[in-house]
This record gives sequence, structure tokens and C-alpha cells, in this order.
Amino acid sequence: MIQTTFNSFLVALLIIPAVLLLCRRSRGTRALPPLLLLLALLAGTVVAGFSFWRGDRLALDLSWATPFPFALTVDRLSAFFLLLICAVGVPVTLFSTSYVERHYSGPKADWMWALLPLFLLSMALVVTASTAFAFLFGWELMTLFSAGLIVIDGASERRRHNIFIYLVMMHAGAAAVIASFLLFVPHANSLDFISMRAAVASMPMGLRTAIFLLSFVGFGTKAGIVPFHLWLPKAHPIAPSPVSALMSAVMLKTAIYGFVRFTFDFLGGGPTWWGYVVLLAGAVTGLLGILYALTEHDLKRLLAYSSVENIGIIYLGLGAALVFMANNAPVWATVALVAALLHALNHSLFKSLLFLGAGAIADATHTLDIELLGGLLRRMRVTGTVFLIGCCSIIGLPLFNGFVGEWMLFRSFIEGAELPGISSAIILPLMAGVLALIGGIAAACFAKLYGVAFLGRARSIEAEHATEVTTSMQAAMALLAAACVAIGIVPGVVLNPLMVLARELMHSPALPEATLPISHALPLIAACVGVVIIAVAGIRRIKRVTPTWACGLPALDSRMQYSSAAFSKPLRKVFSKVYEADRTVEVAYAQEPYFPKSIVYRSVRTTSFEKSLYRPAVDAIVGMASRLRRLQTGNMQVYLLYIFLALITLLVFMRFA
Amino acid sequence: MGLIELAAAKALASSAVFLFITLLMMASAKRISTCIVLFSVQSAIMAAEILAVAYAGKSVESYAVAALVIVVKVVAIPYLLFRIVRNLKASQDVASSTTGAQSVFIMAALILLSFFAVAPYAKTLRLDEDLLAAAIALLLAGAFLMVSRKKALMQVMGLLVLENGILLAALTTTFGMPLVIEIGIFFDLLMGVFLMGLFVFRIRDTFEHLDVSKLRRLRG
Repeated sequence: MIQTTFNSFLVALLIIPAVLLLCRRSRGTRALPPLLLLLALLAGTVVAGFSFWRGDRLALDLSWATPFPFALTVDRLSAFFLLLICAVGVPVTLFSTSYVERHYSGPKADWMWALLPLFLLSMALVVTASTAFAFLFGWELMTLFSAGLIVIDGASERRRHNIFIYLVMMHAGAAAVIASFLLFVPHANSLDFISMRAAVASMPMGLRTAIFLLSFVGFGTKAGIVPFHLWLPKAHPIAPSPVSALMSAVMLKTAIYGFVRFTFDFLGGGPTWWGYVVLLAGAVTGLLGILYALTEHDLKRLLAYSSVENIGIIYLGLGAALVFMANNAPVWATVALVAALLHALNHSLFKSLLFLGAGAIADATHTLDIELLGGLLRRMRVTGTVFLIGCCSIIGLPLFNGFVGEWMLFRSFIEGAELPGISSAIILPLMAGVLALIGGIAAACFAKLYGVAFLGRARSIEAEHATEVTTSMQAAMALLAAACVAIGIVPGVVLNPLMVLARELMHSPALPEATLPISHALPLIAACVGVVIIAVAGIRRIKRVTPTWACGLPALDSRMQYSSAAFSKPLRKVFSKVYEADRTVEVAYAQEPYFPKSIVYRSVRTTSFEKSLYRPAVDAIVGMASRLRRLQTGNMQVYLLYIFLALITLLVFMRFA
Repeated sequence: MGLIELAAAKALASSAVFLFITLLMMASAKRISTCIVLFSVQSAIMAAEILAVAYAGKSVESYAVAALVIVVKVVAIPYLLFRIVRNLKASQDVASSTTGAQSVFIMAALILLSFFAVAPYAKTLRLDEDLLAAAIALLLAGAFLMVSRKKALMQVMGLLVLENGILLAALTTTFGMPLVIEIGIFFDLLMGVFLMGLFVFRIRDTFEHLDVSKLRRLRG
């Protein structure tokens, strides 16, 4: 029964483009493809949920139809990520129904509805694949379909450049992933996951390390860890909002899946320094991601950088789990791994909520520059409320879902002080400090975002005339917000099966007792808070409406408000070493130097990675290529001469060989 | 041993020398039409050789190949090339990038090189060393002509000489290729000459010259 549902879920996603082609002509059946997609995703959610909670294994072997072994298997780990894909896919599809209708028409809408299910299918393929070929097949398609979805919004020079960077980095990452698969070959008799798992026992340590490093870099490129994050703030903001929601919330998680599958499932952990590498990457990624997010004024780019930060937090959890494993503390390794996976789920919920919120804002105001927004909460009640829930979740306030994962992570970091190894006992608690710093800056960042965009006065005419978005958009966001709150209050629902999943991966005997109270305490706290809120709301207060005091000036206008740049200035000052802003001031004088006609101030924050890491690498490659280009004279006889000389060299060589 | 057998053996033994002579003359030739005549002569020597092999091996297929060589390479291709030269009304100069003396020296060096290269194989495989060396020399000479002559027609010439080399190599090592393959190659060659002829006219009409060294704009 459940197997049939799983099969039909895959088939439904596959045939939607065909259905679309058939239904395109008539107006009546136009709604069929979205409906079908929605139903398929609901079915997928149910299947994945069942498999995740009960631990049912599903399998689908298609090797008879393909030239290479192509099989799918859903175990608990796969089911968790499949659940994540489908559960986020449902609201995103719901949102898209009216988003596509309002923004695209004709072929563009068709492309959108054709590529969206295929993109989802490719991601489902990645997380359920049980052979290397199936995995890589899905992995490549995922990149291509997402690039196709980005192109729908237009292909100007600038956008093409960004898509190019995205594709190049993805393919470089894919090369590392492929290499890490191929390194199994001498020891595994076939490249299905079962024999790969079995092959590890006979591998020398050096080979394991090579596989670990390659998969770390390959999946890290997809996940966007620093310094491979370059594509993320370029590609995510230019995609249509539902697509950026999917890319940021779901596609990045497939990389987490791949990394967990390789490092924990196949390799079964490794020496302590593996954990340190991952921890360091997580810490740097988290800190730099949120620091860059802080200075962004473009809503979607800010969210993209915030995704970098959250990936960093997830990697912190994975790194901690590796360190605990290496130090023979499987119980705490389980806690850290659960924290990482839970944060992956949470991030996909609140990040898709925020990206859909960004889509709603763009839909209402036609801009994503938060310096042009303001006062939206009064005009978009529902969007404003759910966006607030998203912001509260992302900064990890209690009673919202972000809290649970981060709390468990803190708990495991502090527990690290108990480890026998002195370096682990120092580094792990230190990471708790890093995580706290990240959380603090994230709070500032989202306070800025929400305050500037939703509170205060409108900064532009568009923001002043914004109206609430359509019902289905509101419903989609409300669904995600409800999920965020639900997990925040009753985390046990996902926490318990995740514990089982992590125990299976770790082969850990006991459940950690220390983290269990959290799932019992939170509903109680929520109840108390609810009572207090109702009580406070019940008290009648005297209302007095007066204009805000403007220091004696006649009236306030929107330019007197805190702007986004002003709000983040103190923190930018503190972390000025990170930013390295390029500032230019151009003053044009009319006649005398005392009365400037115009002053242009420009401050561009170039990420130092682009300048100091990527630029030299690209320059070196291009330089080598142009030196090689001298061989290409364009003269036909010179080409013939090359062949001629090669021929003669070979002849002489053959004579002496 | 009859008279004919003797003649055949002589032809086989001494044809390598004649081939070297055509090559050296080609290297020193200044006019395209000279080269065409030399190519025709070269092909005729080849045909004689194939006839000798055919007579020695009593194979009907080899007679057919010899006939094809005479029809295609001795008559048809030189005739076509002559027509192209006449219709082009361009200068007859081969436009060599090396002087005549240099060309002859290089050609001689190439012939020496081919002897030097084939020596061990000829011994182990018990093949006629002279003929195998001539085959390699024809290959190298064709390539050399293509590299050093700037006229598009001379590139065709070089290709044809190169192809003669391949034919000779096949003849000396395996006593000729199967007829089907030979026919295919001849057809290929004829088509090649046709196409090159067309292109030569196109090049002249578009660029007002035939110097391939000036076609530099094609590079990316």
C-alpha cells in the first residue's frame, strides 16, 4: 500500500509536464497540473512521514530499465529528508498557484509548472537513491532544473553571469562528489550503497580520509559552506520566489543528506580532526554568513546569506557529532547529530516561510530593497504576522522551532568539556560561544529586517499602497508558520523519531536522558505563556492616541526613521575587518569649492573571498589559457606543421624505443 | 623465369627509386602544373607496382585496383586539377615558404629519416625495405608539402601524395587492401578533390587570393 503510494508519487511528478502539454489548450483543465503536483506532494509527505515515524523500508529497483544500476531505497534517513522535501513542497506549490498566475503567462507559466515538479523529483531522487548512479543522476538534474527555473525570470547579461557562476561551482562540486564515489571502486564490488557500506571496513585510513575530504568539499559546495558559498547569494535572489524558497530551504539540505550519508553511514565517523575540520567550517560559515547578511539591504540576498549562516550551524552540529564519536561518546554524538538534523528541518520550514514572505512583499510592492519598504504590517496583517513568526524562529526564540535545535546544540557543546581529550574539551565549549555570537548577530539582523520592512512608515509610494496578497499565498505561509510554532511547542513529534534515526546511524545503545525534558517542558511553558497572554489581553487599558513627539519639529517623515544601513552600522563598525568596504566619494563642484553641485557616495562591500581567493584562481587559469592560445595562430599551415612534427617525433621515438 | 616475371621483379625492386625521384622533383617544382604532372607520374609508378603484385599473386582484385589507380589517379584527378588551374586564371606559383634548395634538402632528409625509421621493422617482418621506406617517405613528403606550400591547391596535392603513401604502405605490408576498401578510398579521394576544387574557387572569390596563410580570421 505505502509502496504503491510511493511509486505513484514518483510517477505523478514525472508525468506532470506531459499532462501540462495536454491541458495547455483548454482553459478548463489549466488548473490540473498544479492540483496534481499538490496531490503528489501530499502523498509523498504521507509516505515519507509513515516511513520516518515507523521505520518502514521502501524499495524500488529500476535496474531492468536502465543501462546502469538504478535503485531507490527509503530508510529512515532518506525518509526524513523526503519528508522535508514534500512538506516544504506543499506550501510552496500552494503559493506558486497564485504567484505564477499573477507574474507569468503563456509559455513562462508552462515552463514553471513543467520544471517545478521535475526539480522536486530530482531532489527526491537524490535523497532516496541507493546506487551511486541514481544519486549522481538526481544530483546533476537538480542543478540543471534549478538553473532552468532561474532562467524563467529572464536572461539578461548580469543574470546569465550569476547563473554561469552557479553552474560552474555546482559542476565543480559534482566532480568532487563523483570522485568520492569512485574512490570506493577498488574495495566495493558494485556501487550500490549496501556494498559501499560493507567495503569501508577493508579500506586503509588514507583512502577513507580522501573520501571524507572529497565529499566534504563536494557536498560543501552545494551546501554553501565558506569559501564555497560564492554562488549562493548570486543564484538564490534572482530565482522566482517559490523557487528560491525551494533552493534555499530544500536543495541545500540534500547536500547535508549526502554528507551525513557519506560520513556517518558509510564511513562511520573517523579521527577527531575530521570533526575539527567540520566544526571550523561550520563556525566560519555561520559567522561570516550572518555578518554578510547583516549588511544586506536586498531582502532575498539577506535571506540567502542567512541560509549560509544556518548551514554553518548545521555543520557545527555535524562536527560536534564527529568529535564525540571519535572520543567514544556515542550518546552525546547522537544529541549533536539530532540537533543538526532537527535544525535542517527547522531551517527548511522557516527559510521557505521567509522566502515566500519575500515573494509576497515583492508581489505587493514590486521591490525587494528593504530601504524602500516600511510600515507593511499595517497594510499586510497576515503576511506581517507570519513573517514575524519566521523571524522569531530563525533567531531561535523559545516556543519557536529554531530554539529546540540550537538548545540541543548548546547542550552538547557544553557537555564537550567533559571529554577526556584536552583539545576537544577546549574547542567544543568554545564553539558554544561562537554559536551564541551567531545567534546574537542573527537577532540583530532580523530585528533590522523586520523593523525596517514592516514597522515604521512607508519609505516609498509602492510600500504605501501595498495591499494584502491573495488567499492561497497567505494560506501557504500560514501553513509553514503553523508548522514552525507546532515544532517549537511540541518538539517531541520529530525529536523522538530523529533520536531513533541517530541511534541507528551511531549504533548507540542508550538514549540521552538529558535532552528529553525539553520536549516535556516546552508544551508546559507554552501553556503558561498562553495563559499570561490571554490574561494580559483581558485587562482593559485606557487608550490615548497622540502624535509622536518630533523634538519640536512640525512633522515626522519617513526619512527620519532608522534606515537599514543605520541600524547595522554599530555592528559593522565592530566587525569592520570582515567587511573591507570600498568607499568612494565623488563631489562635483559648480564653480567654487564651497558649494558642491552633487555628492555621490558609494560603498561597495566586496566579499574578500571573491577578491583574494577566486579572482587569483580564475586569473591564473585564464592566464594559462591565453598563453596556450598562442599555439592557435589561426594559420592553417602551422596546424599542419604541428601534425607533421608530431609524426616525425613519433617516428624517431619508435626507432629508439 | 619468363620475361614478364623478370620485368615485374625489376619494376618492384626499382620503383622505390623512381618514387624518390618524383618526390625530390616535386620539392624543387615551382609551378603547380609541374606538380600535377609529377603526381600523375608517381601514380603511374604505383599502378605498375600494383600490376606487378597482381601478376605475382595472381589476384583479380589487385588488377581491378591497378585499373582504378590508372583511371582515378593517373588520369581523372590530374585532369580535374588541370581544369581547376586553368579556370582559376591565377598565378601558377606554388608559393613555397622554403626556397627550392631548402625544400630539396628537407625532402632528402625526410627520405633518410624514413629509411632510418623502417629499418628494424623491415628486418623483423621480412618486408622490402626500400618500398616500405618509400611509403613512409611519401607520407612525410605529402605532409611537408601541405605545411610548406601556401597555395590551397598545393594542400590538395600534399593530401594526394600522402594518400599514395598510405596505399603503398598497405601494398608492401599486406599486399593490398580488400577491393571494397580501395574503392571506398578512391571514391573518397575523388570527392575530396571535387570539394577542395569548389572550396578553392570559393576562397578565391571571397578573399581574392589563394594563400591559406592569410586565412587567419577563422580562429576563435
